[in-house]
Amino acid sequence: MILMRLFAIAVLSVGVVACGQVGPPRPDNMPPADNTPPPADDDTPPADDEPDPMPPVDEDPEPPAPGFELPGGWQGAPGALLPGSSTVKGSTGVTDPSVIAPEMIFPLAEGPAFANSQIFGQGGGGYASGEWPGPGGSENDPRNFDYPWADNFCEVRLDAKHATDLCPGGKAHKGQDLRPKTCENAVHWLVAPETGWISHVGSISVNIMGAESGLKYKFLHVQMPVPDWVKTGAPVTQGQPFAQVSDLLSASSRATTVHTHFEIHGAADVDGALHNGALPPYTSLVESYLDLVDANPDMAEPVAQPSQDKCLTPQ
Amino acid sequence: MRFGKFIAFLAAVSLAAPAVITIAAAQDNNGRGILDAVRDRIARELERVEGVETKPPEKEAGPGIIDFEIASPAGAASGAAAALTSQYRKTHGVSFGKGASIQFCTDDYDEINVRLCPYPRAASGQRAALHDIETGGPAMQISFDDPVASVNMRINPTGGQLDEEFVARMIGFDANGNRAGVSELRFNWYQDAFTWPTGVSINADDGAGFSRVDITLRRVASNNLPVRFLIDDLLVTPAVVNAPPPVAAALAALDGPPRVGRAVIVQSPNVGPAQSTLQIYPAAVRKRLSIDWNAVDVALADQDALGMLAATLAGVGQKYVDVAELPVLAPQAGDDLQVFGNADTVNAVWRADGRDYSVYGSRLVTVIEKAQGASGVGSAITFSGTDDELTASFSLFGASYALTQHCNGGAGADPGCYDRDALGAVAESLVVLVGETGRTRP
Repeated sequence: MILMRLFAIAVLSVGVVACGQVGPPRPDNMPPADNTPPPADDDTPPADDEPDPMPPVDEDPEPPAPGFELPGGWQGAPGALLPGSSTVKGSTGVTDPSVIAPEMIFPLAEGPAFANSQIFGQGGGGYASGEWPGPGGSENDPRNFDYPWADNFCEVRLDAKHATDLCPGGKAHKGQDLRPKTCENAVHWLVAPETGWISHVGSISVNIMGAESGLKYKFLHVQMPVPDWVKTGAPVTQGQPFAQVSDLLSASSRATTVHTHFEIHGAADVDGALHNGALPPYTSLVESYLDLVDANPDMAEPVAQPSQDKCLTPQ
Repeated sequence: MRFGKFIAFLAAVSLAAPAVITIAAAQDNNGRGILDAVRDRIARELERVEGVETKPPEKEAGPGIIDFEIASPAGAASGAAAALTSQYRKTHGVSFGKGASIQFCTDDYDEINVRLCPYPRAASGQRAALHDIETGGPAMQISFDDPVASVNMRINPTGGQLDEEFVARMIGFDANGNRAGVSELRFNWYQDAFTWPTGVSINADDGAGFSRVDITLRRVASNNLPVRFLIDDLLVTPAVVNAPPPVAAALAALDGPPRVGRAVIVQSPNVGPAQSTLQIYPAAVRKRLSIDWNAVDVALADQDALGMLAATLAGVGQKYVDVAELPVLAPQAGDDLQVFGNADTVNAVWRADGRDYSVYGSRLVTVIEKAQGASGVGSAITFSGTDDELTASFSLFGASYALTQHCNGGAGADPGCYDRDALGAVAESLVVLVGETGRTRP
């Protein structure tokens, strides 16, 4: 497991060295969708006892240069939704700090990334025609691409398809919204949180089942088409890029912001009752993000947003 | 019980046969019919079942083998006949029309009373059933309390010339009396009546099954005139539609929200490699649920009896079924069925009716405290969803399952995708797969 994580980091580092850059690989260096190499023919994920493909470790590495450090309070507490954003106003989200998926790596290829609300963040219109008002403004506001993170599992949703047992009101947002480094559409790569299988490819979604944890990871609003090899049942390796972040709300509508809606699914003992569905992913994202930025300190620092024309939805 | 399992085997064999709404009837090149193999199995089985040779099964509910062993009320004299009407209704749900009688023949050919006992002895016993066209008309009518998926029997004319050609014909009728299938078998009779080489059968695949079949036997050389005939080893198998599939029955039996049963903690917040990599928050506690393998075995036997089979696995799915230490749920029909997972969690995916489906099962649970004010799990089957899927979650055999219907086109593009009843019907139609590993690890 640890070797796999190190391998993923090593892959990213190799990419940096190859490009003569300091820091993470630039978006342009990520494999284009059409050219992403397919996984090995073997249908099974690499076994733990297979040779470690990581390059030899430098016995006397140079001390890392001091990089950006996450600010104090960079991440809000689990369950601490933005004020006025919960289905039952005044209630919290899931405050249980347990990390559901300690096996996973951060699902974006590079940082920084920002866990926050789309409809209650800058540019958000809120919910239910103002009954849950949003701040308005521009979705590309730099404040959306900065800290602090905020949990939005249990954020208000009222339609039946958002039914969940874990949140007050019984209907809620069942994942965590993640904004990538910039507001650019179809640029930022998503990577497999675990070695496993592509468990479903939808019209705007990709699901991955982890071979180690058995958990399922769901990504919504992915850019379509995904690379050819991304098909249901295809094996995938932890850290392998498989799709890009987009603003697709449906196959024909780019009506949401550039972000990933990330879910973790599995079975749970919820106060003695058996639950099988979306579980709170926030703390798993926090921990995996720490791993990412610890290994790549420059990936933690927010960047200036590109000009607005670069963030326009492609026609 | 042993006999019951055998009947289940026969049912599975029958329903696994090519399903066309025509009647299948066959003899092999050696003149042995397809029922000979069945009959041999019956004979071997009956040898092990004490008393079945002299008494009808008393507790064998539902259709099964009818060997016409009920003794004639007129006594056991060779050649005695008794009207065959409803003697097998209680045990098998089978009734006979006019003209049918039970025959009793000893090993000695009854030359005096040859009309009533025109053969030395039925191969599986001393009795068989005769259809008399003078009192019953040309066709023997067999009715079923519940529709049946197939009817098989051995058939034999009471006499004939060597190599004389006969035509056996079966017509199936549905519950409304409408003709639902027909089959014919031409065969050449020969003197070796003792072995009864000819078997005929009819199979229905339209889901409704047959409520009645009419059987005739005609002599070709006599302008296809109907003749009297004998039948034996009548085997009927129930129509699947009338028996709830095991998963459906288990779902129907769910009472109240699923609770976490017996479980063992397999990941602690303070122990293990997971915790060592975390900086702020603790790893969640994980538990491994116990599987009720006895219930799994019952479900497997039931679905075998109903002839329920999973869709064909694509690719390498079987090896993941084999390593799974929990029952794998899978569809009976669907395209591109794949299975993957590990010992504690498994996922089956397939496509049917223009949508993708997946059923995810897990015996590994993460312990979570819900949000303050959350209502918690409140029903046996819980529905949930996102913009592009609807999921039904439930607990069976001690494990937790989530059946997901993936919608086409994303948010709002496939409104019919959120039909809970339709998804419930899919859940009820699932079947159970168990790998060998699972069977040996309770």
